[in-house]
Formats: sequence, structure tokens, C-alpha cells
Amino acid sequence: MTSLTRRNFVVAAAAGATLAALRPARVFAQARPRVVVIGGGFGGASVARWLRRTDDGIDVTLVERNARFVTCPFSNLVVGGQRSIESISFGYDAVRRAGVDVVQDTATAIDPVARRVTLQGGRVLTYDRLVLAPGIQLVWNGIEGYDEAASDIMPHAWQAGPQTLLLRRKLEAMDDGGLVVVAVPDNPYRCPPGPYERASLIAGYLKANKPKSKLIVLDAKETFSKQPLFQEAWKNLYPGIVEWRPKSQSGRVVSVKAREGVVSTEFDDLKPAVANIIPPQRAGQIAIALGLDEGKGFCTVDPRTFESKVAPGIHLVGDAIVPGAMPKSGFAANSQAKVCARAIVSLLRSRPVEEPILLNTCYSYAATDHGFAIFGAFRPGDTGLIVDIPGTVGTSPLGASAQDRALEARYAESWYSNITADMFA
Amino acid sequence: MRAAAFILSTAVFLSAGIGGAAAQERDAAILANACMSCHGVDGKSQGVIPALAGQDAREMAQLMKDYASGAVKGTAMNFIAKGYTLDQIDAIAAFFSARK
Amino acid sequence: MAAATRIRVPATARRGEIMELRAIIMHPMENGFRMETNGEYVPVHIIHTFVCRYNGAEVFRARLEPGIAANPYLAFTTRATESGTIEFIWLDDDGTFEVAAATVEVT
Repeated sequence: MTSLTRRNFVVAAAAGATLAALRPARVFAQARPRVVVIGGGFGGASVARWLRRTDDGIDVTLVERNARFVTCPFSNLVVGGQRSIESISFGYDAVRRAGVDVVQDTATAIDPVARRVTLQGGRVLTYDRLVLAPGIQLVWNGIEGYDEAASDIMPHAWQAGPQTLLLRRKLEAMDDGGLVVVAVPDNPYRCPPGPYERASLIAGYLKANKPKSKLIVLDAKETFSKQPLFQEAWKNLYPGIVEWRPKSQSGRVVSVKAREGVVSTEFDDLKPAVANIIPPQRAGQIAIALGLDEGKGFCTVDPRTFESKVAPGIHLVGDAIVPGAMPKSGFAANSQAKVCARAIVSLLRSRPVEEPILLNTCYSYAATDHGFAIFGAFRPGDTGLIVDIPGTVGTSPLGASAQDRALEARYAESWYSNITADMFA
Repeated sequence: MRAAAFILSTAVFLSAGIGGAAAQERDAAILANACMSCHGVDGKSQGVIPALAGQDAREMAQLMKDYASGAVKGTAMNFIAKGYTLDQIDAIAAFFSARK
Repeated sequence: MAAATRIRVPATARRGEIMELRAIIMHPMENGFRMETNGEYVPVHIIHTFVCRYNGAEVFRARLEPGIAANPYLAFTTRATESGTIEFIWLDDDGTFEVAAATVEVT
């Protein structure tokens, strides 16, 4: 893998002479290479920004259906009432100022042979390289009875925005003494520690405002991310409020009757005052429609270029991919996007692709002044999947002082400011 | 293996003058960009996460190595720092030191 | 053995309807290949047989092997024929057994 470093040097030394000569024949008709990015979240917005930061000779178009992006990270603070939705919403002005053509539209057709994207508004975009960052879609009826209509009554709030506010309103409207359930799907799903952070922050709201209430986490799994840290926090901060039921203790939700307010696990029927149902997930529809997931729900990519294993010329980043040892997190999507952007520039400029190291740090709040995190550094593995680098994966320690937890909460805030600025400032 | 090859490439950069410096910058960028998810674009951080831009390269590199060995206790960096060879650490530190 | 069990039987069903029945037992399902710190293997200890009876007649039987994970969970179906009792029986290889039962009203 290190020979790449030396090869880079050789090509770089001759860069001035080779750029014009080595331009791929495919782009001969255009003066400048063109990249189209579909999806303006952590993955897509980051790819667009980093393409321009790496090589401003490339034309980049970002297609995003919404005028503003609401981040899933920190949206649990909105659910818990500790932060406003405005504070986690971002427009695309700075992305435009960075030279990205941001088109508010939806892609309706992709022709991977002609390298053309058709938008709902009628515009047709041609590309040399296409990047899809569609995130996840929820699998309706993956839990029997849980469809889009049911999500108006039992919100998922797993795509931030109106659903986040709906869940918040339901918690506010609940009487003291009510039961809240948070239903968690089996792996893989977006943001592995997210449901438990949410349970913690809702518990914080209940403790302060509705202290007779209770929260049950109904889990389709036996273990979860940062489990000892969350369980320590629940015991210390929210005794008697949070209960976690793993799959083996009838934790897996198998069906809901939203109108009747019933949530059924394998062995129990619950009638919570507020039900937050996080259903199973798969890659965003555009990736599924193109068959990039090969029927598996998520898409396999080359870990150095993030190019689809199925469709040459199409790259994927973020929650829609099979990420190997990386989690499905906004941080991971951002880290993948930076690698993908540099690889695309290398491919377009006929330079060797570099050997990356990817990072992830997921902060979770158990309370606004109580944070902890999971860390990891990753590289492309020999099997074509992303693997963790030994010794780099770990979490904040158990039994840390209140001051240390408060400091980590401030690290989380700082991280959020920096990563959102990376994309949107 | 990884370390050895990197030392070789660093030696080449040192003797290659201005062209070499540009290439080294680009080699470090693939690593340094990842750091910016926490430390801010070009190492310009908001809040309590330390800014890396314009810091002394040798001090930064030494701190990274101390995090990796456990000589200095931190949070994330005790894990993340173990992901890099000593030469990669030097290259990343030089990269951020050159940001103003 | 006195292991915890959970079962799920519909309270009511229409005659001829296919009912889904579910059963779980909290059991370590020791496979005999796990070594203690003293170098001794933990002896095999599993549920070897599961039986379901509907008004006394056997409608489902499963033979479990040491490769099956702890807390074995079974879901299966049977046709609703008449009101009555559905029994779930787990046979442990230590010679003990566990029983759970519920009634269904068939209309």
C-alpha cells in the first residue's frame, strides 16, 4: 500500500506536463470535468465541497430536493427540548459560494451509459463521475403495520425535520405518568448509538417535567453501541425511569396498530402514551432503483474510491453503503466523502488513487452536560471492505468524573460546529 | 513496511525542493482532511477542540506520539493517534503548521 | 432448572385460521466447547427437545443441538381447530423440563 505514496510523488513531479496530455478521452468534448452529486446531506454536501477544495477546475452540481438540511446529529437534543430545530438546520448558500451549482430538484432518471441525470424539473445533467449520497429510506411494513401513515401517529424521527418536531410535540402533550417507548431495529441502521442517546435525553425531559413517567427501550438486539456507558448514565442520572429490554426479553417490536396505540413485541402488547418507532432501513431509493445494492439493501463500494462495485463511474458515500467496520454516522459519511472527492479528482486527472485513513468519532449525550464518545481509525482492508486499524477503536472510560463527562459534552458541541462548518459554512 | 516506505518517500521530498514540498503537501492532505472533521477546515476550530492551524509542527507531532504511546492522557486522541506511523504524524503536523 | 419462559398465543382465533405461536426460554445453551479459566471445558448443558401440544395432541416438535445460541426462540404456526389449551414443553438434558401454557378461544 505504501508504494502508492512513492508513485504519487513521481506523477506529481510531472504533473504540469501530464495534465493536458492525460485527460481521459471520454471528456474530450468538455473543457472541464463534470461531477454530479445527488443528495445534500453529510455525504453529498461534503463530497461537493471537497471536490471544489481539491480542484476548482472541476464543475460540480449538487442535486438536493430540500432548500435546507436538518442534521440527524444533535436532533435528539431537539426531541429532548434542549435545542431548537433552527440551530440544526443549514442552507446551501455557502455551498453555492464555493462554486457548486446547487439545484433544488429530484433526480428521476439516471442513464449510466450515456452518463446523464434527468431531473423532475426537466433539466438534464451530464457527468464524467456521478456521486450518490441518498442516505437511508425507511422500510415501511418492515414492522407489521408501520407505514408512512402510522408514522404520523407513532413518529420515527429518524430522518430529521418535521418528524423530529412531531415526536417533540407528542412528548410535550403527554400527561405526567405516561409511558414512552423507543423501538430500535436490528443492525444495520443509521447511527448505532442514536436510539440510546434519544432515550437518555427524553428521560432527562421526563425527570425534570414529568417525573412519574417511564421510558422503555424495546430493542431487536442483545447488545448495543456504548452500552456500558449508557447503562451507567441511566443508573446514575435516571434511576427508575429508563428500562432497556433486549430481544431475548421480548424487546423486538414485531407489529404496531398505530390507531389503537398498540405496540407489540414477540410476547407483549404495550399501550404507550408516546411511541417512537425506528423501523428497519435500507439505502435511499435511487441506489435501490439502480440495483446498486444487488438486492442486499446496502451498496458495496471500493474502499479507496467509493466507486460502486456494480456500476463504474458511479460513487456512493454515507449511510447507503456497506461501510465495513465504520458505523453509519454523519462523521463517517463526511470522512468517506473527503476520500471519495480526492479519488474522483485523481481519476479525472489521471493520477494514482491515494491510500486513505478514515476516521470516526461519535459523541453521544446522556444529558446536555454529560457526553461520551466512540472513536476509531479505519483503512481499506485486504478483502475490499473498510477495516479498523488495531488499537484505534475505543470509547470514553467508564466511571469518569462529572467534569470529564461535561468536558466531552463540550467537545461534542465543538465537533458539531466544526463539521457543519466543513459542509455548510 | 508502511513506515519504511514512508521514510523513503519523505527522503525523496526533502531532496526534491519546491516540487517535492507540493507533493508532500498533497500526500499529507489525504490524511489531514480527515482530522478536519473535528479540528475544523484547515485546522481552524471553533470551541474547545484545539485548533491546529499554524501550531508548531514539532510540538504537535510530539503530542500525537505521546497520545499514541499513552504518555499523555486525552480522550479521542489516545485511540486515533495509534492509527498513524510516525512519519505520517510528522507529515500531518507539517501540513497543519503551514495553515495560517 | 426453573428457567424463565415466555410464550405468545392469540387470545382468540377463527376456526381454520393459521395461528402463529411463539416461545422463548432463558437458557445458557452451553455447547461443551467453552473453556473455563482453569482449562476445564464447561460441560454441555442444553435444551435438547421442544414440544408444543394443542389440547393434548402434539402439533410441533423441535430437536435442538449444541450449536444453537443461548435463549432459543421458536416461532411456528398451527391451524385453529377448537377452543382449548396450548402447552409448550422444553426438555433439558439435566433431566428436568419446563412447561408453559395458554388458552385460545376458537370461534
